[in-house]
Amino acid sequence: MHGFIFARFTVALLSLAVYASTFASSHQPGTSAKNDAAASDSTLDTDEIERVLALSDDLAYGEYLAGECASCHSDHITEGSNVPVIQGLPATLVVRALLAYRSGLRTNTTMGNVASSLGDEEVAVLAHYLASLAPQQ
Amino acid sequence: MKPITRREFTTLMGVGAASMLASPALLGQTKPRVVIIGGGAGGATVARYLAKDSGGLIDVTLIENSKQYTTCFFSNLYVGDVRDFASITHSYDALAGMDGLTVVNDLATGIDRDARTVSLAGGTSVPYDRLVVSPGIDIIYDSVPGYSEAAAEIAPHAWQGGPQTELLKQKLDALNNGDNIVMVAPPNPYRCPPGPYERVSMMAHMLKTRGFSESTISIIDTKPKFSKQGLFTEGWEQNYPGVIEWLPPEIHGGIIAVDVNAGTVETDLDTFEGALLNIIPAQKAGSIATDAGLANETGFCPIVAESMRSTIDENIFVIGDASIAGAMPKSGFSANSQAKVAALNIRGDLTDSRVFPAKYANTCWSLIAPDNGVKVGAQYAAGEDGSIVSTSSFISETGESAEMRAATYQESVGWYDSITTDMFG
Repeated sequence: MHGFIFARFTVALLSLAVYASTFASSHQPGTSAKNDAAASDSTLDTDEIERVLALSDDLAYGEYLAGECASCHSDHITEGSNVPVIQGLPATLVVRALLAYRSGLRTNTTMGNVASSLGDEEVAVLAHYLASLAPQQ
Repeated sequence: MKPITRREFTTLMGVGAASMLASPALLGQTKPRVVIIGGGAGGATVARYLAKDSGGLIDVTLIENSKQYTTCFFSNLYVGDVRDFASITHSYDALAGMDGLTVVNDLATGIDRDARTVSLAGGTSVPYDRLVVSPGIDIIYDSVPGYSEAAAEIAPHAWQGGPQTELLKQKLDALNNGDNIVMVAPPNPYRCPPGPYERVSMMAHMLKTRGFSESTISIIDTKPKFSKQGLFTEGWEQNYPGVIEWLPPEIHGGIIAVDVNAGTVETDLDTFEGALLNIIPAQKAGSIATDAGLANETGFCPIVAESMRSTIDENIFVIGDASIAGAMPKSGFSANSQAKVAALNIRGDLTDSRVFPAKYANTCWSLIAPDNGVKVGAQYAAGEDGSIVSTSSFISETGESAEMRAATYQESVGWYDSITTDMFG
């Protein structure tokens, strides 16, 4: 499971505990790659994440791109849904997730397809914009 | 703002005011005006994004004839007893409460492109600087021999959400064991490519849960193949063996006549009898778009891929099912995505707002059986040939695990809640 990746955030931000659990359950089950993905995911270089984040903090561009996120990610938990709330997530976590989806380390086909359409700059502005939103309950 | 009725709107305009409306300055209004025709997936999204993002610099008017909106997407889950009708029906109250947005409950009857006004059934007209046309589809009833708008009250198409959806459900609920269902599936292009086949899946699920082991469903298709065909075919064999029969034109040879009173669909091959006929004809852009000359010979409206702007009138944007959106399917998700690109470009036209490259997305989830969801989706951008092109895509695979299928369904549940919030607030 991915839970351990989020441990440091969930300690600090209670609302993110909800994210971590829903996110973990949203990961495509039934594949042996699940644990592997989590392990690989955590090996994403922190320097690489910082490099991407430093590319741009253009919030207006991020807001436009985040319109696509809003088609599936609402700012509240929906009963029966496994789609996580992403508004208010730390920027590093958004970058980590999108890079992992883009490279195939995480294997949800919807998110893999979304991430494949984003360059590093787009990943950066999305992360900064989503992080600028208030965490939701 | 509260939603205002047609009568109140007329009163607000005042006698003789209509003739002055083309000149906002005369009314002391200097803000640019955006009028949106149609409060469905596309129009509601454009209205909400313009009101939300324009900083009060634009007056937005959404014209919608219905007081509430029943989504066509997820309506098959209502057919299959997986969701109730209320859960797929949405009010305009939240949109009407947004600053800078007025919801007018009236029918738009015409567009005067020279005067830049929209006429309403109530007798008034509304001026615009930019117009968004999002009327959805019109049904071409006579594309199926013997079918008509009146016949749809007996054999529903249920391809527009609302009363037709409820009628189909009522007729389905009235079936007995041994009663058969016959569907006529539409030719391309039409709203929601996997929709007919998801509907059949949900009908079969309903028959199964009621123990109607003697009933069957026949699909008389007007095309030789269909969306997610391998996934549906596998799902039908696994979940509803022997219940669903799909007949392409090469098998049935063509539809000769539908008789909704007799409950028959006559083809070259045979005459199919059903206690319930679900006839889904060919489709075209909503008539207000075609009447205004915004459509081409295909019956749908050409647009500029970078913006969703009409290629025929630069002051007009056409979004959703009425538009020719290249590789994008006609879906609520597509309309919602196109609406955001249109809103961005409208703000760019009318304010100093920045305009970014168009980026579109769509995913179509379908439910084969409860907790057995499949999906197909893609990313899109403006292509070099001037149309919207797919830049990457994905589709569920046959043979997936039950856990994977359940997760896909759970994804669609989150999507439905999110996208309807994104549309209606």
